Amino acid sequence: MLSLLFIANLTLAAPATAISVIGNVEVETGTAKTALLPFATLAEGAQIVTHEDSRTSLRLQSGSLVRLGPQTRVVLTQLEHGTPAAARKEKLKLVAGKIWAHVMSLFGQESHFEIETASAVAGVRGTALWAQTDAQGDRFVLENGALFVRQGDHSVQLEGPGASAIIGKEGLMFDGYFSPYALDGLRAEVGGPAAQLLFRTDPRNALGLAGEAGRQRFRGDINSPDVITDTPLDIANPADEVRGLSYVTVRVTLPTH
Amino acid sequence: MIPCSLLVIILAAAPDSQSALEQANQALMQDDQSTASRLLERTLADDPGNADALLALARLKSNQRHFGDAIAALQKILTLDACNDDARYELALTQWRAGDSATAQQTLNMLLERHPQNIPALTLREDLAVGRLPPPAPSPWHPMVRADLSVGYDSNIALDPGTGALTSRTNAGVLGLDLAGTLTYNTGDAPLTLIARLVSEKPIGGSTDAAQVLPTVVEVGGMYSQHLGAWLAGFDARYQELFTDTFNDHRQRELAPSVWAAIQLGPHRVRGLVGAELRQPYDLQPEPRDNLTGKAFLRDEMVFRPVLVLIDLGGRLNRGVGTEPPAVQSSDPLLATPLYGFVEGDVDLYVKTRFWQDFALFALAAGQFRHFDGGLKESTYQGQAGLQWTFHDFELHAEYAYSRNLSDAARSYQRHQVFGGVRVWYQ
Repeated sequence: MLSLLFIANLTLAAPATAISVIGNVEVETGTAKTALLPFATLAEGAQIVTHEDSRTSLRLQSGSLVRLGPQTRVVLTQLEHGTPAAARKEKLKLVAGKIWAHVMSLFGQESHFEIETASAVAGVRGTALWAQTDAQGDRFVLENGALFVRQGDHSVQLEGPGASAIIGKEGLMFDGYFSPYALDGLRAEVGGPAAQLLFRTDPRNALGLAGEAGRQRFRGDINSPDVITDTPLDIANPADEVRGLSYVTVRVTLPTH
Repeated sequence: MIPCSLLVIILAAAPDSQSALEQANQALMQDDQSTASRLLERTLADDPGNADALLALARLKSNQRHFGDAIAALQKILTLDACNDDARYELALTQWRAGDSATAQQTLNMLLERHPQNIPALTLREDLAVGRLPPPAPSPWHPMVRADLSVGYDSNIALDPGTGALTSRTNAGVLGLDLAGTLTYNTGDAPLTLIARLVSEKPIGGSTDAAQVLPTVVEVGGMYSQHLGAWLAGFDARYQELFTDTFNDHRQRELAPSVWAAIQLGPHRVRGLVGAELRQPYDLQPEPRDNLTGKAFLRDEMVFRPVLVLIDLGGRLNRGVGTEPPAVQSSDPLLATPLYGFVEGDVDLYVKTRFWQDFALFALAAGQFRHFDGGLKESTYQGQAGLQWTFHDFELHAEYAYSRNLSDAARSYQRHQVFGGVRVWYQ
């Protein structure tokens, strides 16, 4: 019943919006190629190309956000949206490069959000992930939520931050977990400083303002400001203390002659 | 259905905005929310359509309980980027925290109209329906206790072997304890921290000789910092009592105030520091041997992710307070070296990187050059390398240091130190 209602309310080709454009980004529609401007709308079928040191962020009608890293090519293959906005069919084709997608949760069984590469399809239900494709193959890395990666009849489910799957010559396989540090590197590479900034300020993020940064601040502020390293080596011997070394230890001996 | 229409056309983002966002990011990594806010406001002055900067600024303002500013920023985002459901949720949350539950409910209804199964929105609706109050402002007081237990080996622990009471072994295993408690008052812009600390080293095996030269330091202090325009300025004062043989021999008391000011210039954080160290040594004849040291340092911290590079250049000038001339000091058999009356130059290069999760490596190269009024010239070089593996509430660490002192033939020395330990925090 719900799915029937959803299908009945579908409208076709609701456009995406480029909410951020940095550097040289182009959009190809049919044979036409134009520079992408901030807040321009992008229809179903549009192909977006970012060049070196360039990025863009696309807001889909469902509220989902897709960030394209430098030297990336993406096709908006399906943009069907209904009422409510969470009921939709969205599909992107990653031709080359790297993207990050924050996907709003789906509504109704017919809804889907898919990222397609040359060799696999990733289906998501409310999550954030990175996808990349190059000559060596494809990789999907989860930031949060859950992700199904499918290649033919074979599929891999990813759960937990950093979980990754690769699709190379040996087919689709689970590829372990990225560390938080590696994820931060990926975040910077694809989304630039804005993506890192929003991750660090996200109140729902355990590593946000009230988390790791605050902890590090209180942990690190014990030494006087002229001390550099926070180690037992900072403890100088009595001669050093008497002479007032800050952290470089010196031992002295009396002349024997 | 809320139309996600195009309302505003903005020119392309200014190139400088990326640099400002990077700097704001660096400030946040140091939990410097005030600097980050200022950088974001500057970015938005040049690039008012930067939705990412607006959202980050709104979150910082909300975190600082400047709810009016946060709400204004979130509402502006929704005029630019009407399908930003994260911003809509955060707007409802901020309106609730600001005490405007009715408006929060309206905002939430718009979000649930678009996403009927959005769990955070449903949870907030439940809070509003039962009249639950928003969480109170967190206490501005943040206590913390830190303990560090380390064990190591020192190849040249002696102060001056062969001279009476200070005769000691030339090497020793060392057990170290570093206990610190801090109390920070922080309302977001001008944190004040009070510190109490005990650092003590004991020889492994109970060597009396080594115990006589291993230090115990009791320290109390405070530090305060305040933004002054683009600058961050701070004051730090420490009072220390130095003992050896645990608390059996009182060696010295010291008062060390300093002031500093730092500014962020691109990837560089440049800091200038001036300070003084007033020392009153005990058990050194003839008394008194009070001495005063002035110091000035210039530090450049550069972040080239994932590497931090720090260069510190400075100097110190030491003068006795109306006591013995240098000639008397240097002829005193109880003194290993002159204690005061010197001019010193310092240069330090420190590099730190995190290459895997919370695993960090660091290296320090330091050089120190002194010229005493009596004519003695001393140079000391030190290399340190270490690693830190940080978990949620504790950290494993290990360090190695090599020191080489070059002065006259009798005073030159070299020293190896290896330490490993565990550091624990409780907040």
